Amino acid sequence: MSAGKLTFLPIADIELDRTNPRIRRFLENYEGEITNDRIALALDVAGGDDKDGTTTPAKLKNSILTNRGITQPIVVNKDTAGRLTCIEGNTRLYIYRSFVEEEVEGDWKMIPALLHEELGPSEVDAIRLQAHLVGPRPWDAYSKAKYLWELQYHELMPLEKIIAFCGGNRRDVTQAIQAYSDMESYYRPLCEADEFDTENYSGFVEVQNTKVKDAILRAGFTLTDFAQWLRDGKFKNRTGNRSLQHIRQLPQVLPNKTTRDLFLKKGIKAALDVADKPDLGSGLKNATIGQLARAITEAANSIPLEELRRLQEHPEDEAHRYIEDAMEALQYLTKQIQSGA
Amino acid sequence: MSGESARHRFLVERLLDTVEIRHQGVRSVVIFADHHRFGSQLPPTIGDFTPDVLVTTVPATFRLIGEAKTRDDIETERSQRQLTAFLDHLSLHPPSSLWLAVPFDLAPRARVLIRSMRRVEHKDVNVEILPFV
Repeated sequence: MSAGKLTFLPIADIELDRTNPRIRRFLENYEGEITNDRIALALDVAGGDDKDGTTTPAKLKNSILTNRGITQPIVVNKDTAGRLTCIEGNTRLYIYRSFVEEEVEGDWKMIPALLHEELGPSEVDAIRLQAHLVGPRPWDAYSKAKYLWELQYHELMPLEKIIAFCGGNRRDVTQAIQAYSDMESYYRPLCEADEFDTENYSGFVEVQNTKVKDAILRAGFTLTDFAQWLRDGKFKNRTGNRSLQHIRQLPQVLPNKTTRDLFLKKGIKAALDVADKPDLGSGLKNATIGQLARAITEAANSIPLEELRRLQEHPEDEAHRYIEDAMEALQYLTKQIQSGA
Repeated sequence: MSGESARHRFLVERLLDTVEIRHQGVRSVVIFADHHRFGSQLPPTIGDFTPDVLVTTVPATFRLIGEAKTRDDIETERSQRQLTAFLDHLSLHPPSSLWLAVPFDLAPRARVLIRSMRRVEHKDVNVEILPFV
């Protein structure tokens, strides 16, 4: 495959790639005229917030707007008939088109592109595979936060500008910078150089939750105490593995002297076991583990959509922890059963 | 939009204008607000209540909660619980401020109400009543 030529191409001359899997999976189920709006639907251009730190179309759109353009060229193939097809970067191309249509200020009629000529199907596949199945290696959460903090603290970039460059997600950006800053201020001083564990960064993300932070401060502790708990491994699950999501349960544990003392002596799991003895009716108490497992399966498979949405929108709901605890307990039980087989 | 929610929105907008004027040029300030100017992300929940505006520096060196109250909702039991929760929260994060945006003629009543709900642990929270015509 040739290296391709870096150039600027008029967006009006480039066709969106209808054989692109993301577009095709939609078009295959769609009858009727293929309008721009339908292709936008296929590309999920209106997609909302991300849940796992991936780049959403909305974020990408905001970022392109702030940057006044794309930093990574799209990949275009010119076939023997001279037709230009975008084989990588269809969403970016669509966003440029929408800016022209919406008369967004700026020059959106030309797009940076890596232009290949007469690529065969296998070469097109190779480009798609590298772009979407291997992809660029994303930074880990700690490295992202460190970079954002440096931009703000050392490069003195205004926070609103950083947020705009990151696609407008002010909650994630501020949370990352604050978590990094807290980790440096409270955790690093407690560690020898070779003890500083960046995996504990997610603990500092958890503590940015106002309920959690307030519970720590209200109980008379400080973030230095919290950092010490992390260093001492107070947040472990039943199997002894680090389980930082249990930090969310501190508001249940810290206000009560018994559970607080248990937490300080034995860790979060011991405290939660006491804080949260389930109030079971006689029917549940007398059921066998097999009957309960079947009931859980039945309930999980037939959960109403409304309830599912409610759980998605309320990550603080206690049901999340009950489900995670049940899963953890069942996995542990399965292992025990299998080890004896 | 009902008359009541239009009045509330007016107060939130004046509150945001004031925040922007007073904190203009502070590089590390971030504003969360239940308003389209500040994106789709609401301020975080504080004690089961979502404030109209939350302003903080990042990293945190200052925190401000702004709340708009109209004649019809300032005296409700819910408002009292809400403002107490905000004062409780802010007292844990000094230096901090609570700004209450109210219609101009409601300012004296708002001052009385706020004084009645302040406890000794709230003493370091700076409270300002912002009256708007």
